[in-house]
Amino acid sequence: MAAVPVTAPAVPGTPPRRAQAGPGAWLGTVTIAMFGVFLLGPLANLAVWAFSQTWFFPSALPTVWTLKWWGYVFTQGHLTQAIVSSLTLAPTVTIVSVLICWPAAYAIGRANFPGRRFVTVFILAANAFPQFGIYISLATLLYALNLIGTFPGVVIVQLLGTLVTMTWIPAAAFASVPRTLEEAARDAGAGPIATFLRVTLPLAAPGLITALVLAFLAAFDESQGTLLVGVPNIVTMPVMMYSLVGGYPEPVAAVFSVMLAIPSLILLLLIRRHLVQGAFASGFTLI
Amino acid sequence: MQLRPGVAMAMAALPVAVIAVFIFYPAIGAVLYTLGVKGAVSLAFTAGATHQVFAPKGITLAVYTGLLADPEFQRDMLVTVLVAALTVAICLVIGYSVATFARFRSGPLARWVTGLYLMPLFIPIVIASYALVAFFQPGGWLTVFMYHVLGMKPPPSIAFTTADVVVGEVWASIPFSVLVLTSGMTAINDDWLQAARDMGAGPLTLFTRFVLPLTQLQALIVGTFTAIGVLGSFTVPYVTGPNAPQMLGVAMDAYYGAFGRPQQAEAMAVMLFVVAAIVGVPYVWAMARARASARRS
Repeated sequence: MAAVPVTAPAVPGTPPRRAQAGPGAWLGTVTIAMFGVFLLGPLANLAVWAFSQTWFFPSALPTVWTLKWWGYVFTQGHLTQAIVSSLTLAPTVTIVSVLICWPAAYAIGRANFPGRRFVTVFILAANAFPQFGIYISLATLLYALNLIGTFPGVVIVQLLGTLVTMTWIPAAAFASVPRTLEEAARDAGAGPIATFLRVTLPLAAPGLITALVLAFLAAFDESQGTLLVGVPNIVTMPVMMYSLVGGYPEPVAAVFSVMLAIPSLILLLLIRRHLVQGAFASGFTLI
Repeated sequence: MQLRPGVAMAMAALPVAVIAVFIFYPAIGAVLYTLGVKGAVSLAFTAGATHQVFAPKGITLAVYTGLLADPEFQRDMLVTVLVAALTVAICLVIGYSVATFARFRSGPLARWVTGLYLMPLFIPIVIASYALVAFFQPGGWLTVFMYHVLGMKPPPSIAFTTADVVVGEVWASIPFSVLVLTSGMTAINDDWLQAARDMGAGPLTLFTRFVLPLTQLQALIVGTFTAIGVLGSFTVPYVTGPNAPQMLGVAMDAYYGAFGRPQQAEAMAVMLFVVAAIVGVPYVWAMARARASARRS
């Protein structure tokens, strides 16, 4: 099936442009530079804290540097336990979310069925509730089911935050696959499964990967619901941050922050291109 | 693969079922609980609760009237709405600046800028909040900068103020604004812009007469979802904000946990939902209109 000619649909309106002519270009450049500092400054400041032994105002950098906080983090059993919890929960939630959302996304993107619009709006409406309200009321249910402080309980609470992105973005991705390519594959003798695996899936891949990464991050970063539902047994890295801030020497929280940010930044580099190309925003015009 | 309607419905039913069971069903119980209906939530949940109000028969609005008459709650609600409004305004300004830049420039700088503006999406919000406190607090780089460069002795600090909360909310909301507005701008036809330029339209005219009207829907999406996100936010105000006034996300946590008053916490959530629903009306209306016009053409 590799012989099927696959040409990406042309993206309208994105030829290279002359640099100077854009509206608001200069104003934009200044604003952008200013806010760029505002985006990076705090993180860089925090990263320096992670290596600081002595740092007095008004010095811009620590007067004595150290690596000791990095070793210290690994001597604290509950801190490493939090790392393990985070790294097992987030993949679990992502897989469960795929199983629940992607069939629905395919149906929404490719089929016309009664209630299609209701489904998309219903999934979005769930996101319009103030999160904390959802978490408290969910806690009432999890109490009744004896799931408070358990792994499945936390999976449920983190799963809720992934549903919109994992349905909407893949739905838009499936919808954008040209039917003619699939028909060509069928005409060439491919069965429905082969067509799906070798034509539909690869063409929808950028949207699917974007959704996967965003779902993983949503679960990995979730702190509020996990705090409410996971205590006292399940403590993830972001939840641990709540108690690190104030409860430990400042550099310890900084070290933990840097460690927590690394997987996320790696994922950013992986999917940045797809995000910019609109795989993310396309979902919001679905309904 | 051609799906039969029955099969498609069954596939779509999965996330709907999850939301129905884990969001809507408990939410209904929670709303009944705030209205004083006995037995609406499990006993294990209400075991340690104080200040509960139950209607002897039917429902009562006592929990709501009690909160609405409380000056502290009034102030918290006002701050929550104001922070949301300010965040939306600032995000639209930054979002349009970055999206315009990315749309009309190319090359490594434009790519670098869009990459930079997506970064907050990948930084856990609790870390971002903590970093902002570290940045703004006395001794943080901003105060060091003000001390050395601007000569402010001692430099002011906005750490643990509502201003810090707004900055944090903006920080967290920027990627979404940039992404949605960028996708709206990509769709603007180059030929139209070129034609307008040939007729002598300057950058400002182009922006107000073409870019703004053609990206209305995207601006609405940004405004709606940013506002709803900020209204219910917890981590940013919890880490960066003052003890009073609090945003409602933090107040709810305090009422639920420290004060042992889950009924009031849930009632706050219900009121926040009403505000969020009102915020969502223009978006739903615009989507319905866009659909109707698509059907006509």
